[in-house]
Amino acid sequence: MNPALHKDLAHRIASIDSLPTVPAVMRPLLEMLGGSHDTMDLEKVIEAVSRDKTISAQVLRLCNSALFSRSKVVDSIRGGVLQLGLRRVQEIVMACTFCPMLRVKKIVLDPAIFWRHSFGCALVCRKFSSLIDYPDPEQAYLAGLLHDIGFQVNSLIDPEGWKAAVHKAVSDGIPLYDAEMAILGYSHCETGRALAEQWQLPVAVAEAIEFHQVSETAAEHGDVVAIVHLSDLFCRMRNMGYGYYEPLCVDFTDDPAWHLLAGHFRKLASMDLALFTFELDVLIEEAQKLVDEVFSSPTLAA
Amino acid sequence: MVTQVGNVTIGEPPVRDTTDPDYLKIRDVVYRVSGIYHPETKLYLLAERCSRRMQALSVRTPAEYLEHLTQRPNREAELRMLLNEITIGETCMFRSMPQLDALRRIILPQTIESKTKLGYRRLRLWSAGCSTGEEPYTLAMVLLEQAQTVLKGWTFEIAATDLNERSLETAAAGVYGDYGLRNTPDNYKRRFMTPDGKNFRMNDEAKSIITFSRVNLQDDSKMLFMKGMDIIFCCNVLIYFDGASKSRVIHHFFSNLLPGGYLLLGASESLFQVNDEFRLVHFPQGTAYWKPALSNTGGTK
Repeated sequence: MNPALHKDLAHRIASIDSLPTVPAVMRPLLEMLGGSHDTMDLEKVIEAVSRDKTISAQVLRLCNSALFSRSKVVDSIRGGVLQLGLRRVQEIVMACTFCPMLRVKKIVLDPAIFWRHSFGCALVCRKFSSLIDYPDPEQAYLAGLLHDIGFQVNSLIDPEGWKAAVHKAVSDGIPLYDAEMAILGYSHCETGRALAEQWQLPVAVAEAIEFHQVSETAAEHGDVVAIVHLSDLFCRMRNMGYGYYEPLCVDFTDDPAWHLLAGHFRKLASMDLALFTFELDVLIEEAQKLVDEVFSSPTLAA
Repeated sequence: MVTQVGNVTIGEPPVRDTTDPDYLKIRDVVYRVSGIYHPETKLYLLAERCSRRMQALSVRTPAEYLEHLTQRPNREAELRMLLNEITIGETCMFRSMPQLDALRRIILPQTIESKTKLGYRRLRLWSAGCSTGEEPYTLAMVLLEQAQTVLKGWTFEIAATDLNERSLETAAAGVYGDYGLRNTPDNYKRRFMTPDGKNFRMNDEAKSIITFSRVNLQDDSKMLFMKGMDIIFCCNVLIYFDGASKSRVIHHFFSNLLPGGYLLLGASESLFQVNDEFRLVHFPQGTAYWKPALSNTGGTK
């Protein structure tokens, strides 16, 4: 990123009073997901979530919802982890934390649509990573979940410009990234990166946020950036984009991100891409239900 | 209880629990043999189609039925019967909106642009396995609605072929009832059809650009004559072919298409391990197989 632009955006982001900070409840989860699995501390996660009364009440509500219907009532975070598994609980915690704190203005982009895309992308990242034997599917999940947080920043630092960019994308049927570059001169990738640094997100996640649109320019963490780039495209091709028609015809196997991964992960060569695509519909429905459930909360409806 | 589903009457169904893992095994058998995939969200559809066959065979559980499909001497015939059930009632006009959106908004503009550069103003589409005509008439309406805009000055034609002569007779008559028109927007009915009692009859404008003929896709000599196609639709037809026949048909389609042409299959059909000449491409909510243009640049088009 151009250093002058980076400095300018970082300054504008720092001056926004309404920009949320990462709640304490998320710290152990982010560390766990962004770092090595050897450092995973389950107790730390359970303790942090249990301590935040608002989040833990939301998490328990979702654990007991029809989405994860279980015969036994979940009455504690520890019980939730035992019954649903840590992975499910961490998904729920992230949904309950990020969805309310980062809400693009509904007048421009429906927050539920934004989060459906983000959670859909996170799930696709995880599935794609597992399929090709990428060693850290959970890190890819987090990178997929947060890859578009720059949209939130843009809606705060320049609401009018952001609104014009969204309208241009929808009316011209072009990617939001292209519309941002045309109207604002920068994109959610740069502002997302600046926010990621402020939030001290893991470097791999910050890189995925900055480079997921132009994955071939990624520096150190090219693999996770490529996974997020492809997963984002998969979501947009399976009806989990930003709610408007993008007339794209995508040859995934000819994408630079695909070539990069093919050089590192041999399994990609034998992947049944059509089958993978058909299977994504299940994940997309899962992401939709999770986000719809979170947004059905009375506190979020307000 | 007796239920009418499409044109099939069924009685009391066997016990159907779509969470039964044997349905996943049946799903995998169907995918392996036919290339048709049922995601878990659509497993209930497969279970419903299986239940009709299970009832006919007096089979109570999916495990037992799986045995009929994989171990019994008549397994191939049974699989064919199940595939028949899976595709029954599929035929109607405007069956796959994502596919038609891609045709209108991506494939046609791209084809028009590349052919214009070469100085051509002629389009040829092929509905291979057109059954009773719903698909070619849909394509005809989509092309004709653009005749005064992006296709102004172009000639376009649709070859519609099927093996079954009775189906072709029905297709040529072009008369459809509520069931075949269940997805058809009213504006298309008003513009391209005339009421005919309880039914609707396709008008001459739509009929004039379609040529119906009998073609066996496995007849190599006939297939050689279907050259110069821009777009081929062949939805839920290849599932009835064995692997070798399917490969041969797909290879013919590849030769029949002009460079840059598209082959569109059913919404959940795949050519994995059947053909590696085509490139799988994705568009919103759908996929197609693309014959690389001579100056292929690939990527996102």
